[in-house]
Amino acid sequence: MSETKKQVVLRARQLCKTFSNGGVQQHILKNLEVEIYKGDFTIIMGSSGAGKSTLMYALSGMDQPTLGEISFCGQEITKLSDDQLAVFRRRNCGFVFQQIYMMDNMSLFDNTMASGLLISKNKKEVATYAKELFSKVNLEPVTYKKTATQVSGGEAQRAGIVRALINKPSVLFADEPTGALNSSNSEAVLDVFSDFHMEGQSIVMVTHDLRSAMRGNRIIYLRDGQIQGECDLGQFKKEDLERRHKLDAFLNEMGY
Amino acid sequence: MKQYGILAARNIRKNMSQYISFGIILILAVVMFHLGLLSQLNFSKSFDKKWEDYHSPDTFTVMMKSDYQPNYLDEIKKINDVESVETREALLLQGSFKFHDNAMDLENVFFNKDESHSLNEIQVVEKTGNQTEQSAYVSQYLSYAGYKLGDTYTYTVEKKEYSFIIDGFVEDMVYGGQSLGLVSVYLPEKSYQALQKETGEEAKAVSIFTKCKTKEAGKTVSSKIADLLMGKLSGYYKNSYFEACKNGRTITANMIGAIFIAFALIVLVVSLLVSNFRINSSIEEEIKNMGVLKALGYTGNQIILSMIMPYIVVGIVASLIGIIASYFVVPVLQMIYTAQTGVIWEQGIDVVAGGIVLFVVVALITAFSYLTARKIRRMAAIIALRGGKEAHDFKKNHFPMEETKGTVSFIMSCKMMLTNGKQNVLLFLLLIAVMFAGIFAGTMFYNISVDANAFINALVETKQSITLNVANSEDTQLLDKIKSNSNVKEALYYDGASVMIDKENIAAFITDDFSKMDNDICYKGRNPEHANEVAVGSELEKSHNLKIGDKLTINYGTNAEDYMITGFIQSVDSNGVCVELTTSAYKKIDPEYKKQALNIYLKDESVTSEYIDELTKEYGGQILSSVNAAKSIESSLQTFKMISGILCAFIIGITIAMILIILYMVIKTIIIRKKVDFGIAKAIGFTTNQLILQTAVSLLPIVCLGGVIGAIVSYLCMNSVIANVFHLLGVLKIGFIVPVPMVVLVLAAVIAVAFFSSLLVSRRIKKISAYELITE
Repeated sequence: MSETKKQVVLRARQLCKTFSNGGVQQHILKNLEVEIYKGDFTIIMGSSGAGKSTLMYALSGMDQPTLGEISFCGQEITKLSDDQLAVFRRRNCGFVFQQIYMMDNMSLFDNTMASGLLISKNKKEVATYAKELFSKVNLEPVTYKKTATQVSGGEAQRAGIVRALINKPSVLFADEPTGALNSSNSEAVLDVFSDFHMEGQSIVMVTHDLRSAMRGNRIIYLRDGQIQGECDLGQFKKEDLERRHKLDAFLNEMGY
Repeated sequence: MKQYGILAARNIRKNMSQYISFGIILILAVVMFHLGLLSQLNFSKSFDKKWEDYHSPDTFTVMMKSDYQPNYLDEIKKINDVESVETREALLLQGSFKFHDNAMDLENVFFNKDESHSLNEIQVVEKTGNQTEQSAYVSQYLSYAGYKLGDTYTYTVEKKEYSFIIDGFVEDMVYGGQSLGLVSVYLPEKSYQALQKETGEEAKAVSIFTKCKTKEAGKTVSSKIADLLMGKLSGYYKNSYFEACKNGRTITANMIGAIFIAFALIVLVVSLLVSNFRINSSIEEEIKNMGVLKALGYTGNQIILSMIMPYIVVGIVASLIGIIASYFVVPVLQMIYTAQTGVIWEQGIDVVAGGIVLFVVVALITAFSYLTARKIRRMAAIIALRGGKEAHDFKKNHFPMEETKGTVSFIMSCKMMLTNGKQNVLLFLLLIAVMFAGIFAGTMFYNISVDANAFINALVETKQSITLNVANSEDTQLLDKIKSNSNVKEALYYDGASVMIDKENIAAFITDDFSKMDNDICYKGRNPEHANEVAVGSELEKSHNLKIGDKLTINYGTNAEDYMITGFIQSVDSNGVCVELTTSAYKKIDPEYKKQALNIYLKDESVTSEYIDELTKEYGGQILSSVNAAKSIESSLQTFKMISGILCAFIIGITIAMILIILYMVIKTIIIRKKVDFGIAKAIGFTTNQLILQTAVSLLPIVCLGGVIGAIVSYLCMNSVIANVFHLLGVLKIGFIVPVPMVVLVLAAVIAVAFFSSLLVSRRIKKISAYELITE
């Protein structure tokens, strides 16, 4: 797929994010320019404090940049109010968090329904789609009818992916989704991401884990609030050593 | 000790606003508690001090000069416990004067202000400094009944008007209020002489003041004086003593004090529930830290102490602030009590009342917080480190989204409602308490200011429209004529007299047939029907331990007769020291008795004045005097209306403050606990307004439930609660109306205040950002 044919979903122009801490200003993102393409599995990597999560949450409308402009499918989102951003997020974004963050007074299924019913009024339709998604991530009803504290971390995170996808978002954002999981659970969760990507889901994932990064087709490397480099890994295939070497070489070049 | 201090200081810093809210509730409770105690203890103490300072007599007797004999003085001096006796000339007139905008029918005793005397001094509170032939110094309580310095005070006796210019207001401990049935007016020499000249010999009276060895001896000495004068007097006569006077003058303060203490206890209970709720919440919020502390080697008691110490500190600070703050409210009470009694309350600083409040509040908070926090001791460190969770968590998923009808916000509100267990219990109990307070205030206000019938019936023996003093009651032409008027409901003679029981002066109410009375004051048994029967006042029932069927000897002059008790009656005017006798029964001890006071009950009281004019015009010769009783009652009600208005405003203010503070605490706790959930909800696309509404709606069912149950309970038991409060006034039977629309209105108002304040307080959710949640 040539780059010229790729459709831009998100575009950031001259993006700056500055935090003030006790009068000291910290410039996390510095005049950053980036485009996210439809159907890509974009991995954002970088050293600690490089601004990976800040960039992802700015792109998703979860946080407002200090300066600059972000547009989603041509519509500027940086000028939207908090409530307008909430509506934007529910319609266009799905989120998977490292700490999973399930509402603890409801089951995994109801967490998904709570998100789905924000868009659709048709409860039956939402429930049917939720069950389909749960089935895709290999979660049985006996599991997804439980609360997050009653299941394993991997199961909860897979439910988190279902919740993020219930509204068929344009972009699925994932922030270190395997950060709190053991290796077998991590593999299962990453497989789910890969499967959805194969089906055409656009994904933006922040990670510092090489196994997770291997799942993406495009790597963006950040350093000191700016993009230091990019790498096109191509389509993910299991046991693909060539991709692995390509990634290692890129990260070496970036000084990772 | 240092380590507790560090932990406690950390707790206070972390939850500062919660401790401030808790402190505010406590301050409200302490203000009311302290005001209640000040009213009950300090007002009484202040009254006693003034009594001493003004050399007020322990017994006091007023009689017409024509009945007075100089040897009475020597006889009185011989009575045991009498220290000194003094007489003072006076002029006694029986008429009426303007009180607020109506006529008040009350005897006036005029004293020469310039006459030298040693007992019953008066204090001039305010004066113009002018002195004319019409100068008068009237009781301080009239300054709250529509009079100002320089105003004209007109006293009307049988159409003749005596006018004076008010040149001062005075504080008179004995005759300065209306509770004894007469009120004093002090005239400078010139003015006194002018009145004496105008009223002639008939109005001349003598007041005998007796100082006893102890104030308490006043009652016995008074009954011995009554014994001495028995059968010797033919004109007006009044004899009373310190305790009776004090009871009459301090009863309002006692009643208001009791109401304050009762409400303080309600607010205090709410404060204790709040401390329980907050400690439980803190334990849940801090459980992991407690686990760490336990693992580090802190003992359970050390952690408990650090947990409850902030509450003890807040308790002490709030008590001190509340005690000081209550002194700023005292002027309002001072005004109420002066308006009611004519005695200016100089409260000073009452260390005893303050000490009691501080001790009770701090002791209750300490005990209650310790009992709540002691479960920390039993908690194993490992369980605490796991966030208090045992190995398995069986949390239930209530209201499954797929099966529950309603919008997503509604279902989430329902879920939130069920997870707010402790908050719900607190809100439920709070709502019952505030509904009770609101309905109490509403009932008092309605029955005193809107439809005062039940209130008047509780306070007076009868609620006539007109009282006529008839020259010859044996001529029935006047009565027949009155009864034939279509606007007259009933007309009957109803006299008051003074009889003796065990050498004590007792008020007697006399009429032919008590069943014809408009107001049945009998609360136990029945009214007397035959000549050998009597119904007895509540205070006599208590002091003489009387029962229905007992024999009671009643004296009048030298006559004595035994009567059988048929029932017990209430009377505020006579403090329950009274009896009811039929005319035939009374004539057995006073054969000379002639009916005089004819009570007329009108269907339409708006034409009372016109009807009096009509009767006076037609039967002027037969009518000695007339009183527009409907207007007099309305006048007396003015002060009660003012008191009830202020009390209701105060209670409603406290009620709203309690709702706001508790909701603030509950919602803040919910927000702290659900901060992560709110962050997640925001991240997945819920708007702030949706979350605010969800939170407010989640509290609504419990607010409604508590409100409705509170309304039902208050509706059912309000009359017995009010009867207990009024018991202090001598009221044992009360039929206050608790209007259902008022109850519904209070319920709607409380729910609306709760809902809108929930929305307001929930606005704090706006501050929660999904991004902060993730970066935390």
